[in-house]
Amino acid sequence: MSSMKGKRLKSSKSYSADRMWKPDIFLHPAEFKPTRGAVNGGASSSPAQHCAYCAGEPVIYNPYSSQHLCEKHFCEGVERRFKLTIRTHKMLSKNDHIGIALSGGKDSSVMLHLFRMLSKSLPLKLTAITIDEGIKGYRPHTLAVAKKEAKRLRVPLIVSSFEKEYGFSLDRAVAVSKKAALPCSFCGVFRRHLLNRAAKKAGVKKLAIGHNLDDMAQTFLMNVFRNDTAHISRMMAFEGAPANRGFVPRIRPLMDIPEKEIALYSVLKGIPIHFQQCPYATTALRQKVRDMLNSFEDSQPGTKIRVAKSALEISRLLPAASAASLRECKECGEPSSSEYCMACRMVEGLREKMGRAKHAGIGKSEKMGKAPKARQRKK
Amino acid sequence: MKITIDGKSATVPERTSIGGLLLKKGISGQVAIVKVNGRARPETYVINEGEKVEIIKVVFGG
Ligand SMILES: [Zn+2]
Ligand SMILES: [Zn+2]
Repeated sequence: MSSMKGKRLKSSKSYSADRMWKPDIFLHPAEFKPTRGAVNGGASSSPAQHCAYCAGEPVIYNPYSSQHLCEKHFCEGVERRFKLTIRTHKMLSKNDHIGIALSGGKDSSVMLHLFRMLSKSLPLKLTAITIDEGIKGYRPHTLAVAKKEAKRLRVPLIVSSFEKEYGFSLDRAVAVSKKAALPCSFCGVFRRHLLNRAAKKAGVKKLAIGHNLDDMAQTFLMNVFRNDTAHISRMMAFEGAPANRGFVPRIRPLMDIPEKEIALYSVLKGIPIHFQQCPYATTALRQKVRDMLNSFEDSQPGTKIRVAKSALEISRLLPAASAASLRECKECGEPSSSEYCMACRMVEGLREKMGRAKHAGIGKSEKMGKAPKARQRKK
Repeated sequence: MKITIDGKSATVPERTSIGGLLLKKGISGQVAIVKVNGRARPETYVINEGEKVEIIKVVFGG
């Protein structure tokens, strides 16, 4: 209930103000708690609602722009912002080969759809890359969606898995680490590691990540909470060190589109999506920050846009993290700031724990202890 | 008035809006897409008697 308290749902011009703010329109008086602004959801008689640009029935009301939008104008708006972000940040070059990090979730599926649409008018080569972390009851479904979507849109798909590359699944890593806060840390490091490797192997020039506006705002605040200014400095559209340092440059063409709008776009376009939460998502700091930002957005529409905008502006002011000190990881060859990259160090630590667990008779059924494919660690 | 929410029959006050329904259910409008009789509708939409409401939660990640 509290999350929507004070929600300011300004209506389109066709509404009369006194009618909009009537608290008893949908709540029993006993349940109504007056707050600043309206809590009645901008209730009005349905027939009065229409799109800000036409007489069409609205599918969304955006409090941050005070606009109702019909399906046509909403979808056009999403597509326009996608193209505008690409243009503004010069994300594409002629005859680019774009790797699309495709999880099968809403953001990456919509991004694949939008890139496919763009490739009809621009000479672009697309390759989808999916990472299978090995999350029981979750990843098989999203993997199936990713495979089906890539096939339907005729985009070649590469699947790289934790099991195949590291010798264990994320589930197994979580089981031995026994720290609730860790799944997303492992997953993030390993996913980035494998995505970069797969992208390079496929000859991809840029790696498109499906981070939306909410993700950008959340990431920025999480970095503030951690005082991680180095990470903030890399929050520009083109993140990462130059390609010749071993990093495939990353682009985020959905970064100006709110999460809810991407989800709605997928529903309206009939893009098959598996609306299921990753079982580890609730353990993440990100989930708390997401709730907090949504609460602010409910009471102060436009908050997420302003936070994401601040993130980009601040990242421009900070000195960019230097790639000069990077070298090749002695084990996998990926760029690293130390002798062994973070992924390889984590793999090593987990493998040791898994070895101990095996001796104790835990999880014998799972394959483990296998060295990464790239090369054996030199001791 | 009687409506259907996610396949289950429910009674809500007359002129309940989608925003109001979400508020009552403790769901932020930021994380929900609502369909009424199979069509996506904004939070300002006022639900009519007998309509079928479907709440799709927008999950994190993707
Ligand atoms: Zn319209
Ligand atoms: Zn390494």
